[in-house]
Amino acid sequence: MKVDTVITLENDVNCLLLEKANYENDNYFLSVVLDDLEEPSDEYVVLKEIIEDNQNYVMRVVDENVLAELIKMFTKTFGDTVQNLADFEDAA
Amino acid sequence: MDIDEKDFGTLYAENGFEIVKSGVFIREADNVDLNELLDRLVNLRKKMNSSADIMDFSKNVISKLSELENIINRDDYYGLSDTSKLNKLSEDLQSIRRKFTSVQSYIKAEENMRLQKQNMADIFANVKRKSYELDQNSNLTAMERNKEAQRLLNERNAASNGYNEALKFYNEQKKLYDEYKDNFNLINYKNELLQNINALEDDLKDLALAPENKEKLQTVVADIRNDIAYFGLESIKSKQEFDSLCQRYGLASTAKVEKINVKKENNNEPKEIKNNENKLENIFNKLKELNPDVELALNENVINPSFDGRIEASVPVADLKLPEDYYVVDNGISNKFSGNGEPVMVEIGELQKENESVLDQSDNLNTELANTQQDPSLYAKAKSAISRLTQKGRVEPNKKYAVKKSRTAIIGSYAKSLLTFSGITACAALAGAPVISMAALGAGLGVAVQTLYRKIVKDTDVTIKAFEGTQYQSAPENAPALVGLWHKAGESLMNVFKRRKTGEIKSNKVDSEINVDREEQLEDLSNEIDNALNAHQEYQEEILESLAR
Repeated sequence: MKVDTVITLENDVNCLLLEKANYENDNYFLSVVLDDLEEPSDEYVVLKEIIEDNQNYVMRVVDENVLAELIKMFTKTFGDTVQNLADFEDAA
Repeated sequence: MDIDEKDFGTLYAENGFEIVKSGVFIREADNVDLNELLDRLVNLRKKMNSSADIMDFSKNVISKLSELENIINRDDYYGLSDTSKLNKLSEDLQSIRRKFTSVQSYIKAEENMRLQKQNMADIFANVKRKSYELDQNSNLTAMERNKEAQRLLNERNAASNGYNEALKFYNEQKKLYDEYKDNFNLINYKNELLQNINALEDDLKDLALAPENKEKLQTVVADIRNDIAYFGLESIKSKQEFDSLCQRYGLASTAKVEKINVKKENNNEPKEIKNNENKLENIFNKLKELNPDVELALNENVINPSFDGRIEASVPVADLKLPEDYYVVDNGISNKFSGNGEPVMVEIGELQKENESVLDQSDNLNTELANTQQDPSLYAKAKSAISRLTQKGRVEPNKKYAVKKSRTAIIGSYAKSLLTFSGITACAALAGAPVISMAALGAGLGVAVQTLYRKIVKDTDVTIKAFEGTQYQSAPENAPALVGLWHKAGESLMNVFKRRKTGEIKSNKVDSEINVDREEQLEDLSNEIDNALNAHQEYQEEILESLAR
């Protein structure tokens, strides 16, 4: 799985993967759940990628310690991304 | 196939399943444990009938609507909102409440009936005590005594009438509610409600409200939306799986369970109090005295209406020691033909143990509703189950989900950065991380979001106070609060971004920048033309020179 991807879970929930982090050899994704109109909702989740038998699974992470570490990593990536953002362009 | 071949047919029939396609069943039976299949079917049937508990759902949503109205009404700025927007909000709230009218009337009728019942019990006890005191008081004249007795009787009758009227109204409302439930279309109901909630959310955005209250309202609206989204979901899924299994194994669900339910429902129906309640209590007390080892319970609801009351015992009626003048009749006891006093017929039933009662919660929604209302422990269980179903978030924690498919998203870098920022602050709030790491996070996030903020508001007059300054550097212990503040302010930043993208907010320096760009472009063009002319001239000179040679 990679960022800038919308994944559809088995319960038909769509999640947009925003940032990726690797922590203790596992991949984690900061994601926003999309609503029925495919718009970002106010529900954000951190998903752990699990690969079993060539099938991708995800599991929502709620462990505080893991979340705290991941948030620091996401923040670092976010900071780098923002620094490299091109100047804002107004509407034409 | 683990069930004894002689027994499986009976077992399936007893559980309300009929093998309607024996060929299909025989073919598939070799590949399945019939015990497990039966358990699965029974569980699915329970789930598909129980989770769509509109009563519990309605209570939940109604309570949240009240919470929402309380937040709005307590807000200091609410009155400053545009009148037309306030009216729109009021209309939309009413529209949602109308969706629950049947259920709400039923709930109120039930509450009133219970209140009246409790009131009656209190008054009956009071009258009994006062009547005893009256009998003991020898200082009263005959007139005084009679008047007091009459007053007590009137008080008792008034309480009894109050309860009976409340019960009558409750039964009427229950009938209406049952009709409503029979015609209930879950999908349509949910869709309409979701539309109403979306309209309500739009209304709230237009109101003048304190930011903290807007935040609270968003949470309540999100909760309601989740409640709606999850309402009956398990029921629908279970029904699909149940139907699929029945089809696969050639089975059909029979009406056996419904028959049981009809009986149970009547059993649970409250009944009018009869005047012979004291007589019943007397018999009950006598039975307890005579049978100290037997568990007994007084139940005012009879199954056979020819009896005056019902007493449940942990042993069969034939094993009970009976009061003088009483004898055993079919399913009960009576003194009708042997006593000198007023004849009474008491139904004797089997006292069910608590766990049996729970297991007997049959698979019908009606029965479950009736039972949950009368059994607090079961009601709590039902509430807990619903709470699990409707818990916030559609991606449950620690549950493994298969990824069905993935596709590339087209998202701008600014939009993505804003979403990422909101995601980080939202998850940081959830993580509840120690202050020290939050402080570090605050510093890192602070720098990043200020950069993002400055880029988005660059060359505009827009300022968002939460992103001005460097509070996280001067007081890192405030980082957790700041992260929360930033999360709220993130929405404002997103709005500024959207308004700039739509052209609603324009850059102050757009014209001069365009002019500079144009001048640069013109200069470049002029240089290019000069270069081209020079090259052309040089080329022509070369040709002329070659011709001259």
